Amino acid sequence: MRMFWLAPVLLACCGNVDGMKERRATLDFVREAFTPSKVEGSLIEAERANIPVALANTTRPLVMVEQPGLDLADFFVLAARSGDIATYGSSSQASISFDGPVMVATRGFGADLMSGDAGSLPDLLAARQSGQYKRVVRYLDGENQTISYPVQCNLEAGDKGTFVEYCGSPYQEFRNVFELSKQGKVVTSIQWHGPDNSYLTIRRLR
Amino acid sequence: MTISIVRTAIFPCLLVAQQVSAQTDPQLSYSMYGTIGLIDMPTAQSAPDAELATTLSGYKGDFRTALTFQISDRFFGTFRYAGFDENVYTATPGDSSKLIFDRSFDIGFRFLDETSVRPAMSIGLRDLAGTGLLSSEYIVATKQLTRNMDVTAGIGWGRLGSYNSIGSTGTRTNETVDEGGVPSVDQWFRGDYAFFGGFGVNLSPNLRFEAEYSSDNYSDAQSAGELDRKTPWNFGLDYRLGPSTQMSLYALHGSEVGAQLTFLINPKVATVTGGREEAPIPIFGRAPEAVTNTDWAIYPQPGVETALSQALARDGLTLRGLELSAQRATLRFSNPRFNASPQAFGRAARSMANTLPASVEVFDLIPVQNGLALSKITVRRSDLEAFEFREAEAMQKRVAVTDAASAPRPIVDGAYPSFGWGIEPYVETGFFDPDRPIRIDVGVRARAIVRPTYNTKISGAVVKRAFGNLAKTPIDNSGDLYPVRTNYPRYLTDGDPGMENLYFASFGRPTTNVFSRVSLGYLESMYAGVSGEVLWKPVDSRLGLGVELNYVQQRDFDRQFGLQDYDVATGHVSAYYEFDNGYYGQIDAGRYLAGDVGATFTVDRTFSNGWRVGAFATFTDASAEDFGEGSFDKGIRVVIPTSWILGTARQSELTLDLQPIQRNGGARLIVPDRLYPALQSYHKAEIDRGFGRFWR
Repeated sequence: MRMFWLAPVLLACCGNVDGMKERRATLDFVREAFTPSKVEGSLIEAERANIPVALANTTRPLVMVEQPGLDLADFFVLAARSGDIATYGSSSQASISFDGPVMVATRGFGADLMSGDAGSLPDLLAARQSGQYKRVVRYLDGENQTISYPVQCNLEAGDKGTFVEYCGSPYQEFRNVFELSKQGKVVTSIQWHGPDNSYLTIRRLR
Repeated sequence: MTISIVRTAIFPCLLVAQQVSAQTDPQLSYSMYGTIGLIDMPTAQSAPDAELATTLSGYKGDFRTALTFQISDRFFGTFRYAGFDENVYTATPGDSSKLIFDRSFDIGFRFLDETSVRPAMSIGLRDLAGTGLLSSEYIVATKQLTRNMDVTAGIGWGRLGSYNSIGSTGTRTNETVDEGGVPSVDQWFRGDYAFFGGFGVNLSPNLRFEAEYSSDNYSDAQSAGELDRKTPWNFGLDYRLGPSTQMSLYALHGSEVGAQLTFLINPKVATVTGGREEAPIPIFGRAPEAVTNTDWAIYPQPGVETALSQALARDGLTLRGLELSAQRATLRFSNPRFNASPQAFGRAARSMANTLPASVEVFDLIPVQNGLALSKITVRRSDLEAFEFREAEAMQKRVAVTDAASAPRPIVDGAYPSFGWGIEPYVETGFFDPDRPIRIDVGVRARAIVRPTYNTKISGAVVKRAFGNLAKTPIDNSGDLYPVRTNYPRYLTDGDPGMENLYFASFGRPTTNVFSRVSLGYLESMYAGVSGEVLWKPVDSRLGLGVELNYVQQRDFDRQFGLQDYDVATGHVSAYYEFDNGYYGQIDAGRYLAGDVGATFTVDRTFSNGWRVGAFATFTDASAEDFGEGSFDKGIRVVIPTSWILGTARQSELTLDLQPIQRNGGARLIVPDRLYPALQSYHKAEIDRGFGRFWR
C-alpha cells in the first residue's frame, strides 16, 4: 500500500531523453486503440454529410476516400505534383497518389500500395477507349521486401458512362469501376487497394 | 537449484495469442512436447519457416511448456520447461502434489522431402542435454496419404524405445554429464529401440483427429505409482481457433485426459505490412529556373536550418547539424523513432528536398548516436524527385553508403551542453527458480543525461521497485568462483531504491572504419570502473572486429557510492558477422568477471523488421563443479520490435531472455552504449535489407 504513489508513473512515461517521446506515443497509441469511436452509426455516412464543409474549407482539388470494409472515410487535399502524379494528403496524415484518376500509391492506410505502374489506363480513360494493357502494383512484405505483382488488364465500357477494368494474375484479380462525368472526367471510382484493404471508393469533389 | 536473473525492458508474454501467420498448414499440429507431432510422438513434418510456437500442455502430474522455433526450412529447436510430480522426478517417495521443474532442449532436422511416392523423413533429439528425463532420439517418416490424412512411422531410442522394444544398439546410461546442461552424446541412439507411429485425419479445416501408438512406456511414472498405463494407444483432437491458436484434448495411456494450448507467431508475417504510421510529406519538386540560382549561397537566407529542423521533427527525427554549400548539403541527424534505418533516411531526404534551396543537388545524410557518425548515405535530389513513385530498388541503386569519419561535422548552434531526463516504468524478470519458475519485479526508473559536448555524456539512473519477488531469489554461492553475479538478489534487497548507473562516456571516430568509446563510473548495478572499446567495422563489410577492456570493482549491496574489495580486469576480443541469409554470429573471447577465461558464442536469426531469435553459450576454463548446475552459461533470446506488434514506427523492442542459469562463471560486465549494436542498422547490409521502407 505504501507504494501507492508509484501507480501513476507505472502507467506513464515522461521526460525528454531519447526514446521517451516514442514510449509516450506508444502508450497513447495503445490507449487510443481501446478508446471507442465517438461517432455513432456509419462513419462513412457521417463524412459524406461533411462534404459541403470540406469544400468550403479549401479551394484546392479535393477527393474523398472511403474504405467500406472498415467503415472509414477521409478528405484528401492536393499536396504535391510530380510529373503526371498528384499526391493528396489528409488531416489524419495519410496520403494517396494518382496518375490521372488511377490510384498508384498510398501511405498511412496500412498494408499500403507502395507504388504502381498504371500502364495505358489513364490515357484510355481520358480517351474513353477500351483496351488491354499491363499494370504493376507493389507492396511490402513482412520483412520490408518489395513484392511486385504484374497484372494483365482489360478496360471495357460499362453502363451509364462507366468503364470497368478487369485485372488478373496468378496471385490476385480485381475489378475496378470508373464513373465518368459528361465532361469525361472520372468523378467516382472503386479501385482495388490490395488484399488487406480490398476496395476503396474515391470521389473527386473538386 | 536453478536461478536465473535477467534484465529486460519489458517481459513480452509469448503465452498470449498474437496476430500471426496464416501460413501454418492446417494439417500441422504441435505435440505435447511442443514440437510438430501427433500427441506424444514426433512426425517428420516441419512448421513454416521462422514459426515460433509456445505450447502449454499436461495432465495429472505432468506439465510442459515449450518454445519451438523453426530455425530454417528444415531445422527446428525447442526449449522446454517441464514440471513433474516429485515422485516421478526423484524416483523416491515424495510429494505427489508438488511439481519439480526441469529444462530441456530438442533439435530436429528434416533430411528428406516428401514426394508423390516417398515420405518426408526427419531425425531428432529430445532433451539432448542435462538430466535427460525426457531424452529420446528418433528417425521418423511421414507421408500425406490424401488431402486430409497423413500417416507417420518411426523408430525411437531412449523413452521412445522403452515400450515393446525390438532391439538394442549398445548400453544407455542415465548419468548426467558434469553438472547438467552438457549434451549427453554418449547416450544418443544407444540402448533399446522400438517402433512408434500414428495418423492424423483432418475432419474439417479447423478440426483434426489423431491416433498414435506410443513407444514411450512412461516407466518412471508407472514405477512411482503415479500412472496406470493401460494401453500404448493415445488419441487426440486438435481444434484451431484461428491461424494463431490451437486447442487440443487428449486421451492418454487409457487412463488419463490431457489438454494443450498452442500459440503461434511468425516474425516474417507483419501485423500491418509496411506499418500504419503517418504518410511522409511528398516531395514538392523544384522550379527549373530555381535550380541554377545560387545567389542564396552568397546572401544566406535565414530560417533554412529551422525549417529543416521542423520538417525532421515532424517525422520524429532530430537535427544535429547542417552544412550547406551551393550544391551540396551535409545533414547530421539522430533517429530515435524508426527501427528500419532506410525509412529514417527516406524521411530525412524528403525533408531536405522540401526545405533546402533549389540549387542543392547532393545530400549527405549522416545518422549520429552519442555523437558518433555511424555512416553516410549520399543521394541526389533529382533522383529523389524522379524515383518517388518507382520501386524502392530503383532508388537503392542510386544511393551510396560510405564511412562518415572524415565527413563534415556541423553542429547546431547552442545544442551543447544539453540536459535530458525521463521517468519510466521497468519490468525485470527471472526464470527457472525451481521454487518459483517465474519471478518478476515492476518499478520505476528515473534517468538523467547531461551532454557537455556532442560526443560526451554523463548519464545516471535510479530505480525503485514497486512490487515483485526477484529479491527473494535464493542465493547459491557454491563453487570456488568469486560470487560475481549470484549475490544480485542482495542488491535488490539492500539497494532499493538504488543507483543503477552513473557514468561519464566519450565516443569517437579515430579514423576511417574505426569507432571508439570510453566509459567511467558506476557502469551497472554491481560494478563500477572504467571501460574502453575500439571497434573496426567498415560500412560495407559484414565483418566487425572489436576490443573491449575493463577494470572494475564490485559495488556495495546498497547500490550507493561504496565499493567492495573485489576488483578485476576483464575484457574481450569480439568478432561480429552478418551472414547474407539473415543469420548473425558473434564470438566474444576473453576474461570474464570471475577471472575465468573463455569465449561466448552467439547465433541469431534476424529479420529486417527487427525480430531476432537466437541463442548463446559461454565456455570458460571454470570447471563444471565451480560453475554449478548447468555446467556453463547459456541462454535463448527473443527480441520483438514494438513496431511489429503495434504496426507503427517505433524503435523500442521487447526482449525475452530465457537464460537458465545466471552463475558466476562466464559472467560479462554490463556496459552501457556498446558500439556494435548502435551502428548495425546503419551499415550497408542492414540498409540494403530494409530498403523497401525508404519510400515508406
